[in-house]
Amino acid sequence: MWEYVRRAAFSVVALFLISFLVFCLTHVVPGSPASVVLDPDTPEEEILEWERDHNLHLPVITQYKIWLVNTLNGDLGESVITERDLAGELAYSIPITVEWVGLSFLLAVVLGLPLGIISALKPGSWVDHIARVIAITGISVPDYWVALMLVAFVAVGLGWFPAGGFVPLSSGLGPHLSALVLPVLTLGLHYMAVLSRYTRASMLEALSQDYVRTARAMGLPPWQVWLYALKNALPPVVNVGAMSFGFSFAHALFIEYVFGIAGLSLALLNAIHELDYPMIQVTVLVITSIFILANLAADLANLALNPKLRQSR
Amino acid sequence: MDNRLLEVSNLRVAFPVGNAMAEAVRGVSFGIDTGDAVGVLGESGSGKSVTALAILKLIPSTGRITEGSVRFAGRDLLSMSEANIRKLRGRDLSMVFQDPLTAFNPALRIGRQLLNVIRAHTSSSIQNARARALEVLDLVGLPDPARVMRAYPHELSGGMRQRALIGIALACNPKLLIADEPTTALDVTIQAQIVELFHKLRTELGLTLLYITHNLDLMAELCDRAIVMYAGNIVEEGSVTDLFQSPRHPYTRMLIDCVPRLEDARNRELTVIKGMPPPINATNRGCLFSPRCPSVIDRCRVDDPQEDFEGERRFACWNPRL
Amino acid sequence: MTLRRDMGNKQLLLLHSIASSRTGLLGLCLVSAMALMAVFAPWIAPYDPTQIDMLNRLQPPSLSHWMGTDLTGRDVFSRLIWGARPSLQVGILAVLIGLPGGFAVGLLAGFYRGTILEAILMRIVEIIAAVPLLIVAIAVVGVLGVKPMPLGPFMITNEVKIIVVLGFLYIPGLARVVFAVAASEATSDYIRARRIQGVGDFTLMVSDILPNCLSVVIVWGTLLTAGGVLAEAGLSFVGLGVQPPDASWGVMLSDARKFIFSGEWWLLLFPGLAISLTVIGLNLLGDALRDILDPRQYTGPRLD
Repeated sequence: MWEYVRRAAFSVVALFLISFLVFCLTHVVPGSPASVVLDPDTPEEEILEWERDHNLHLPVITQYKIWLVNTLNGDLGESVITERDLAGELAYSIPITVEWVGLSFLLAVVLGLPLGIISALKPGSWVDHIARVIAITGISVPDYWVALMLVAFVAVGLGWFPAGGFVPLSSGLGPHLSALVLPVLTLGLHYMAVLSRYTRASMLEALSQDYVRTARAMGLPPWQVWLYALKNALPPVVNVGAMSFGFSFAHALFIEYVFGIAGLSLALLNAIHELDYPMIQVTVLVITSIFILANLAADLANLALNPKLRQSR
Repeated sequence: MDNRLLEVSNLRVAFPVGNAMAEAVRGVSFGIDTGDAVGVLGESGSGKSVTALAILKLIPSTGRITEGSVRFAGRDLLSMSEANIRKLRGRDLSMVFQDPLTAFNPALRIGRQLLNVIRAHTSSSIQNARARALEVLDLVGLPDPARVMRAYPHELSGGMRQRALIGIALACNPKLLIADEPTTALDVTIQAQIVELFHKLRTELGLTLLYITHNLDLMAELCDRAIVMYAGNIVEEGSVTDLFQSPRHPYTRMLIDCVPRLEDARNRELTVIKGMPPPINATNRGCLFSPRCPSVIDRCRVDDPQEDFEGERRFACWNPRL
Repeated sequence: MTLRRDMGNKQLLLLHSIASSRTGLLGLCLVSAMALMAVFAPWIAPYDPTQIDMLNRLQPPSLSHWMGTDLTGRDVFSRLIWGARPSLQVGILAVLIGLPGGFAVGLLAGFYRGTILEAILMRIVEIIAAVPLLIVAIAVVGVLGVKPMPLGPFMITNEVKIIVVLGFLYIPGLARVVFAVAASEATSDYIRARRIQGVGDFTLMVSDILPNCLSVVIVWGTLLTAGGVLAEAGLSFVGLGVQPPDASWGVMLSDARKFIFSGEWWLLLFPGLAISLTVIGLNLLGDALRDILDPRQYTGPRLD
């Protein structure tokens, strides 16, 4: 039990460290944000005044402390560039990303798990070979390329689905979902490949264990034997799945870029292009938090599925 | 002798090694009657475990039963469909494996695993199945059956786990129990307890037992008759008394001699069988034991030994000790 | 199968084993092809990859331009060949940068298992590992800017920044893998025997335990290289990697993006295919290596 509290604590520490690291980086860069925001012709005194307003004259540590206190109090400040409320921007973009990434994972699980299981149950069969080819291709092919290809051939060529990935729900459920099909397919197929590989490996490992032989020796029907193996094969897969959810935000970034989906990852990319440091700070923090939460969720899931871990060491 | 409980004839089992098939079991024949306790004695690699697995048709999928027949209660097992033999496994014909920790599913409670077996073979209600489960756990000497039912395998001690495993094997009243080195993974004191449990099961239930081991003493305690295997062949068979007092085959003789006894003189050298058992794909002509045999004669290296019979005994040696 | 030391040249034996598995062979061929392409680019490429030829822009594949030309008339095929360099460089060098750190941390933590040193090292590893790799890489590179940065007497190019950041972030993965081996070896009998002989800790770590870690590191490293290739291409794609007019597969895809609506399919197909084949090759190679060197190893979570 304490293991998990400890891991959670370290995750929080990691979060602070990351935020500090990014904060430091943004202040190490030569040239101040003022040069980005203000006109090049602005007189010197105005620049200095602007900088003082934004606390840029204080030492980095102090600036960080101020930022930290503000953030923990819920005040995320304003974007230097757009001057929109950061919290508002996040509130707008997070659900978008969560929705389409979530759907992708749903697709990945629904397709990937059975594929991996069947592959393991019939190793060497044509199903297995095809599944493994799909899996290797799925994890190796860059998502942004798949996305572009899908847009080029399916959206433009065939015209089945729109090339833009985001249509708000207010425009109707049909168009909303239809726009999501291609991005969800892109990310979903990738993770289907990942999951099917891990499921296959894990299931094969489980099937080679002694207890499977005992189960057969006791005359249990095949489906029950496979369930025995599956119950042991799932925890590592759940683990990988949850960690992948965290990693998926990087992939999401590329896909949102291609499809123009105004989600969290694209917000980060835009912030980087615009040198909007507060926004960069905050989005990295949010994405890292989600990643950490996903890992914790994986650990908790392991705890639930694997009775051995419940014993204290 | 006609309606023996188990009749194995000329069983041959082969596995792929490199590009060829190698025989792990090379023409094994023996029989067991109801009420018998037969021991199978041999080193690692003698083919004893593979024989047992072959009887239940549980050899790994890479292997193949290339020849022979196995008849159980008059039925031919090898030609049976998988569905039919599944009905026999765990019910009429049960097996207990060597390592009780890995034999159980670590993710399920013992009770669940026990119930699954009972309900797979009988159409009992849950209550009856539970009652039978508790009964069986008590039968194998577990002090708190209800607690064991709720426990996960890793929560029990080695001895308790093995008892539980035996319990599962007995849950549906099998006609024959095959025990493959059931005590090898346990401490010596626990070993004795398990052997005693088997003893009790034999006397109280009249359990028919095929007991596979490499430990002569344990086998001698439990079994009336024994089969000695070497490199996939049966080299000798007979009553335990006969085997110990007047072993015919040199291998049997040396096995017995190898075990140090308290009564032996302190400065007596330990008897050792020089050399190693042949690899699975050995194809030498003649007796496979000849390279290590102290009483080897020329014929041994050329002709495969023929079986000689002596009443209830048999042995396969050109130069037996008489 | 085990590598029999008495059979002399271990590397040859390894190659032979890889070649005898179909997937391994395919992986090896793909990777070798790409590597050769990268190394011999100046001699293989028919044209200068940055040579502009506005008269011949956006030509489909033809005999003079096997893969067509791009938006400024540059030969796609030549750019493809040269594009292998940044991707493979980043992939391999990032792993190489991470190796010393990974080995150091893993060996020390594994050897001194149960001490404060191990606790501290592994906690640091956990913290760095708690970070989504690509996101942080993007953030760091983005914030540092894509222009070459002066650092003392050196000019740090974008590529170097990526390599260093990725390499640093690879350390936890490598360290964990080395730690697993080192921890189990450190308590083994032969180490104890050597200690009794009076061999010092450092020598033990380097000459006895380190060689045993090589197989897992080779497998993990190959898979990390695959990740690195994808990372470089991705960063270049969003403008944070190699800058135009230099050639990189990611940059080529970025250029191609403007033309997906107008049907110049060759700009899109070939760079993507190049990335895919390289990564597929590396993954196949990694799998084959794992089957040979570490058949019971169940590789942990990867960077994707």
